Amino acid sequence: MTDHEKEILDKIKQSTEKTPVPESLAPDQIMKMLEEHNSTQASGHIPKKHGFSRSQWMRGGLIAAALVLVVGIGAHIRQQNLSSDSATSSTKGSSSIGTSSGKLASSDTLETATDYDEVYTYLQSYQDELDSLYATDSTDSGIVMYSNETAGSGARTDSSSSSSDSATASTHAVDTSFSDTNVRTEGVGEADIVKTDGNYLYTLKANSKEISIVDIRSDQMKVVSGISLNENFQASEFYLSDQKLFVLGNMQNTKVDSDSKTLYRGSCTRIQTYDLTDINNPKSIGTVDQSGYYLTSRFKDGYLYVFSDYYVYDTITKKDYPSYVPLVDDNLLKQSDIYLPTNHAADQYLVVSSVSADDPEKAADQKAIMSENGEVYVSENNIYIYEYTNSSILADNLAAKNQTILRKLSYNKGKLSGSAQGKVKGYLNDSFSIDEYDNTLRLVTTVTHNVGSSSQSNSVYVLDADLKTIGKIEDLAKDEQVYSARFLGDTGYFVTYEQTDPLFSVDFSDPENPKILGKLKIPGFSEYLHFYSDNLLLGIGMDTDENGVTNGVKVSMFDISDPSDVKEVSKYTLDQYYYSDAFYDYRAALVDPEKNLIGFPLSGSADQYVILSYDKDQCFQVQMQEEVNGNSYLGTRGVYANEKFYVINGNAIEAYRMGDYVKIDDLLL
Amino acid sequence: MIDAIAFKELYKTVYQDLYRFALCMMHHPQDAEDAVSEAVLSAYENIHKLRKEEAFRSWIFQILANVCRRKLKSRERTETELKEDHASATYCDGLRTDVERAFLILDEDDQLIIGLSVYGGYNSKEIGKMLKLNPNTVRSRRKRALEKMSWLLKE
Repeated sequence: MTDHEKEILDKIKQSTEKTPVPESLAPDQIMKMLEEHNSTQASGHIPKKHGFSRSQWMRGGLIAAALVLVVGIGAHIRQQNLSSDSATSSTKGSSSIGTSSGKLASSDTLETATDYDEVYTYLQSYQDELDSLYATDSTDSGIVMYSNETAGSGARTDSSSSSSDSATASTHAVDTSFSDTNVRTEGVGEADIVKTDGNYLYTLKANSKEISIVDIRSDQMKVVSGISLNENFQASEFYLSDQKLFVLGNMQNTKVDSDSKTLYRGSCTRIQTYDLTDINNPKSIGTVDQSGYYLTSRFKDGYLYVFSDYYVYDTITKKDYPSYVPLVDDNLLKQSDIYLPTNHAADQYLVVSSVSADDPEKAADQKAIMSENGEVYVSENNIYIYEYTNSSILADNLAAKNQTILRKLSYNKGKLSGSAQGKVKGYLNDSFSIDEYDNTLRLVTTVTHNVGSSSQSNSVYVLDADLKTIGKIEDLAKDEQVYSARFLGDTGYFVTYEQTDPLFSVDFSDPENPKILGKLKIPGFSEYLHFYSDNLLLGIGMDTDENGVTNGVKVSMFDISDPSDVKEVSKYTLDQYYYSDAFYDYRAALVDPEKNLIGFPLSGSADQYVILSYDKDQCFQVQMQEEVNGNSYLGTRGVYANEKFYVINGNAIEAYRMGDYVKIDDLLL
Repeated sequence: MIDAIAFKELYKTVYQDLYRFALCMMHHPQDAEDAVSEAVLSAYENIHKLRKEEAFRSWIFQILANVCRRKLKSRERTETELKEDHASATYCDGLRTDVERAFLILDEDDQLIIGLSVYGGYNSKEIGKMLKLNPNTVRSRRKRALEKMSWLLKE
């Protein structure tokens, strides 16, 4: 969690501190109620109304009967503000942590494990430290969780709403062109919840269990077929490539191997491939499972790269390898494929496997990196895993706090290999704040100076191919934080915000001496930046006044022809809207300069989808602004094909004619 | 074994947070009060299953979260009307209007994630276990939810 997120949580908490609690819930009253309840229960009478209505009491009784024993959260539970007693014991526990055994991996090199015992040591020290921190006994602290059917069915395992693939290009004859998923790195495809190949629209339904295939060749949309997944498989997103569809998600899965060792322990990531040669009858042609929850994936040169987060929750047993070593295709990862943590303890791996689109029945290669809440940036040739140490549950015990650990793996035609490890101060806003170019890695971070206070500043770092820092600028924009960033060639742009929006431009042409070229101050800020042409940078964000009061969602166009003198040449504010999914998930945005089209969903009093165009004379023009129907949590996407624009949310698809944006059809799946 | 006196002491340390959590979830003082009463009753009846006092807070929060979930489910059909109803009304004993609005723009799972983070002090892994959600999902949803909320919260 970033400091910014903590601040908002605190704000919410403070805002309710004065909210009065009803008298009936005061401890004395409650005890009276409980006593009465006890006595009436003993005598078999229906209790009198006391603090809550009779019907509710009766429902309460029914629920109590449906109590289910669930395995406890056990050692993982944080006993915040519980009592001063436990706080004392946790202080005692943590004081010994600095001296905990376990080899400290040098933070300059990427080291693999020599044997499973070594891996075990890291995992076990994590468990030990948790136990001492929270002073609860280890595996089964006897916590009974209250559960009932409703609660169970309300649970979802969908992943962060993400989007589609990109590799397939979109240059056909003008009127048959179609859009592709907005990606982080050009040429590296990403999965999404909606895809099109120009003839058909493929969309993941809100239940995460079905992908519908809709014929869009005529004005009347028509469902031709669909893919129904195994009832225990929750899809997160999918790719479309060369008549194949690759579904990625989480599978409830527990297998037992020939030695009666348990594999996967309840859940794993699944990659299931379908052949679409017969569009009326998609056929499953391969499945790969790997340990952990699905995180993200990429597609390049005919290979899928699939990332999952594997948490080691359960009790681990030294000789029961599947209890703590990750699996891909039911096989334990080799010791030499496991990279050790930078800390002396770990409870988590980031697992990555590659799968060939031509051979989707097995993984081509796999690695696991012991890290905590690592996130992924993929350049054309390398995978970077970045991990902010402050978000660690053991943060207080880390020797080095407030830094981002970087691990680099190269990838090529399915082959993965670890190459370097490094670190920088501060945290990254998102994957646009880290960018590889010409054998260097450029980063923009926000650094917190004093824990607990909001004192922060921002830094720019340049690292070489071995992830050694070769250039930097520190202490930029004090008390502000990075909201967005984007790099183009030798130049980088980033936005920080407190009250106004300085858009910084940075010259990286001499990597060892990065220089701030300019600083444009305007009200509001951009959450997402996208190059609209060589000379234009588009920003999507919020408009605020000088007091920080929100006016609405804002689009800005910046003239960057002279990076040392960036100008905001146009802006447009969408009143009454205070959020867009594009702020958080770039795949929700569709930006196509060739079609002069800027589309993204809006949230406010209603959910809408807006399409804008831009030209020098007319500036921004709203081409379409329509209500989104459908209520899928997965998110809204806009795609175009054959001069029609489709707005898709869950089970609802609406089609508009491009140009005048008249609605021509809709479909409920 | 936790007796009535110990139960009362434990309850005393959490009940304000329990109520405020329920208020954020249910958006209505009476509903929040009912939810807490129900959770407390259920906890009391099952207190023998709790072996360690230290776990009381997380245990009762878990119970309350499930009570709120079920109650919300049962009124799901009228949710839209309720939202409109609640959004337009101001309650003297309820949440501050801006906080109320900030919660109302979230879906139910996101409300739970934020409520449990604020009042329960849980991290993403713990919430993931409780709600049977992927911890990644919890993290990304929390981030997004907070971002949405931040613009509605007044200083």
